[in-house]
Amino acid sequence: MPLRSFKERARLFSAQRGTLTACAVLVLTPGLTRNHGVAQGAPEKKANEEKTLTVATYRSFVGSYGPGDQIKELFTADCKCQLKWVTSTDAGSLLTDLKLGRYEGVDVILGFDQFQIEAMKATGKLLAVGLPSGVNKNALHPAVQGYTGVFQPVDFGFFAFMYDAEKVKAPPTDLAGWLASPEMARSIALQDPRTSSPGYGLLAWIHQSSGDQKSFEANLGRLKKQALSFSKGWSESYGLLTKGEAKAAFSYVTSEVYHRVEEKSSRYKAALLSGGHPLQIEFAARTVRKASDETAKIADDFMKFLVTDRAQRVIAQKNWMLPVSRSAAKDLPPAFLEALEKPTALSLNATYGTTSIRKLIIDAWKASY
Amino acid sequence: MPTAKRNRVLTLIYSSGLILCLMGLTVFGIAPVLYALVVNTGAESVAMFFGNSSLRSAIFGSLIFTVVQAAASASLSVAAGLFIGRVLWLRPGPVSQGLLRILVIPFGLPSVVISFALVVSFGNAGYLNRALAVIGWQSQFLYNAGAIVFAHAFFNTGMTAREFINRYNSIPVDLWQASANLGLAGPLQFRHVEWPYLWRSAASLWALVFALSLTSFAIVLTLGGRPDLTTLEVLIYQLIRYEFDLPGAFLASAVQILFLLLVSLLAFAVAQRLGDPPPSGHSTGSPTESRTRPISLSSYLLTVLLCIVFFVFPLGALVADGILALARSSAADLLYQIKSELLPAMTTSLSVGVPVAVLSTFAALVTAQFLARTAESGSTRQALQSVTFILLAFSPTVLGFSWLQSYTDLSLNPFSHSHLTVIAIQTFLFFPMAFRVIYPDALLRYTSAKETYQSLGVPLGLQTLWVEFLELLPTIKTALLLVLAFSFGDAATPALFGDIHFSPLALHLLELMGSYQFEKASIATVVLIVMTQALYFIGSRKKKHA
Repeated sequence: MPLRSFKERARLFSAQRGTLTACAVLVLTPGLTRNHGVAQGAPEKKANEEKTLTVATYRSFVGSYGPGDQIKELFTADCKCQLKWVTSTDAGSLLTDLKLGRYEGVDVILGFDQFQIEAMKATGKLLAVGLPSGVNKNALHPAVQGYTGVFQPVDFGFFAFMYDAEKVKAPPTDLAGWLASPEMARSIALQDPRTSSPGYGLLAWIHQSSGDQKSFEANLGRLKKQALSFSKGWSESYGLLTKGEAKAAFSYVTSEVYHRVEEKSSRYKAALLSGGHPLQIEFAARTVRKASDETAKIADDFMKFLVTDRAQRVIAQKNWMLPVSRSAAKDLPPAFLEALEKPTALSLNATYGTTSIRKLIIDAWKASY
Repeated sequence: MPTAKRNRVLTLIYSSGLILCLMGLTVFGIAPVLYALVVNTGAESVAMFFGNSSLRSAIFGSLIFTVVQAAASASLSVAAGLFIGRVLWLRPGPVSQGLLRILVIPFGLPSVVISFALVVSFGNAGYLNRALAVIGWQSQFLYNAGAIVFAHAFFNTGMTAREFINRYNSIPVDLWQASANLGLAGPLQFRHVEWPYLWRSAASLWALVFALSLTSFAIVLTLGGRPDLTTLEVLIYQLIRYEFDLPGAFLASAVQILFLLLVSLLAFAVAQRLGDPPPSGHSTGSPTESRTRPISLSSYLLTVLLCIVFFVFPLGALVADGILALARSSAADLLYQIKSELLPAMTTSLSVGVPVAVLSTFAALVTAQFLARTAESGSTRQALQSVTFILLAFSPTVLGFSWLQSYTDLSLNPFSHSHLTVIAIQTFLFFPMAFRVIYPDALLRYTSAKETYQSLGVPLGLQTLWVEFLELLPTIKTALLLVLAFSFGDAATPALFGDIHFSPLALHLLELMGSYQFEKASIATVVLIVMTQALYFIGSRKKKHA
């Protein structure tokens, strides 16, 4: 959030000067100002240029290498409005910050995944209306069409084991192989399921493919033998792969796309598995705002914009995820098309998003040590 | 300046400093946590704790390893720091000075970089294992409890060594001379001459490293390699982030703080038995002038070799990684990265780090000198010290959450002035660290001044503050540099409170890693190291000895 200009601050202060509390806050805590939200003090008949849409997302989405800047540029050019990003530390913190009430003045929340759908819905702070009107479900990739009932998918990825092709010549071709291969023993960099979404995704995948608790526990015993470490997040574990420490890391199929497109390298590859690859889908949702709220229309336009080909291409190439819009994929580099078409999608049961199942799975994993 | 006028100015500065310090502690520490505690817990959550056996076992299960690894990390860091500090002090010179500067580098690096430094040097595919492979031998040094302890020692030893060198500088010259006349050397000299001046700092540093290791998180997960080798902080993070079980998180945090309180009380009991510090008298800060027999060349070389293997080598591997990345990147790319990313990030780091270092150290100095004067009884001093100890051990996750909740509930927006917010919060976070570095020396200087004045029959007032301040300068400099380094390495506070345009170098580095830009992250790491070194160089230009 950039610092406001003096003129703008003066206007806002003027709009609030009758409020003793606000004055007291400004005097006593100069480092902190009232949460002005997006349309405070705005005249009723405002041109679009003065309207500001506030979107909350995770930090790397708007970082130097994320799609945020370009998305903002494209959208504001169309709507002739302002777009303001506010950020949570990471995708997992979006839910905590929403529950805390930090996003009261926000119009759209962008970037939570399918494991958080139930919890996000339960806050009652988001419009659980599925796709915005005018967006055709059939225009989306078949893998995400089953996830359009509550919130709007924005991008997705297939979880995959990325391996170093210089060290692994014949990667296993199914999940069981990855859990049993002696070549991969103590060689896979994983994420801690207690602190990372992909980390939990892997355990959910193993749980679903195991069928029953006994097989799950047996598979956890196998996973224990293959794990090099369980890092706090994706960056640490993927770093272990690129630093040559691990032979493989749990990541996304699109990680291979990154190396091919950006680095022109085929050293790191995604192992395509016969049993399919679980999805991670990122969603956006409008917050519950008053019907009279003047940014409601812009928020709706933004939701539609997110699934346009222009936005989808930017998100794919900057966030290194796959576009949910089928037509957007056509103009992307060929590596994206392969990443879209080659893996078989595997849907993880919606119950993996519930606290009780989550606890059951994590407890079993901890008990395996 | 006339003495009376200087005393008035000093009184004004010290009282304002103390008031600001108390306000800062209240606004940024105690009040938000108490608020969040009251809002999120209550009688029912305590009942829930006693009724919820799985939460109880999760808390106590994590607590045992948390405490064991923190105690081991603190012991290793203090022992290594004492050993290295002693050797470097006894044989001053450019090598010792250079080594000391390198040892402090890890303090200014984010935890993920610390993990990578150890991975590229001692990892399965690290340089050491690659060298050993030549003779057909390989070993797994990391991914166990030992690796966690070593990583914490790698992080903290530079700080403890530096502090012990300051303590050595305070040993009176006549004591060294007496020791030399009596023919004391080796263990006898250490026991009777050095240790009485060191133990207080040793205890203080042990507590500091213990508290820092207690809440360690990312290093523990990456280098531990197994879920049972985790700290209580992971459980707190999980409870807040994924389960939104706030009473559970606060209870886990309360257990952590209670445990620290016990440790603190234990330290207090030990300190009570050991009594007041010895007088510092006239110290030259130079072993040569003190006619101390320098350490033998072979022992010195062995220590230097150990430092090179365990500290310089991992950092060298990191720098080598960065230089290789530099060589691989095109001149245009590099220029762009420096101009558009690294320079703004460096500027932001400096614009946060310098005020934080100055404010934290000033607050610590004022508080330390105030406590040394007012809390005459050992129990009051220890009680007040315990407060700073507990502040250090607050769960960062709980603190971050409490701040957000308090700001949100008060409809305040800390993100609108993120620069100031980050400075304020880091000042609060690093104040206890600076305090623990300065306080033992402040107490020593005050005791010494008091004895001198009493022997002359002159009542002790504020007039010695200035003299003490001058004597404390090396310690103040140490505190400044450590806080500066810690501010540079802190990515969590800017990530939590910084807006999208606020990206200091440590956070920028993490953002690069999160966007597949590992090569650029290696370059940024080198820049972070160079920046830290440049500041140390500027800060210690006039220093004669290591």
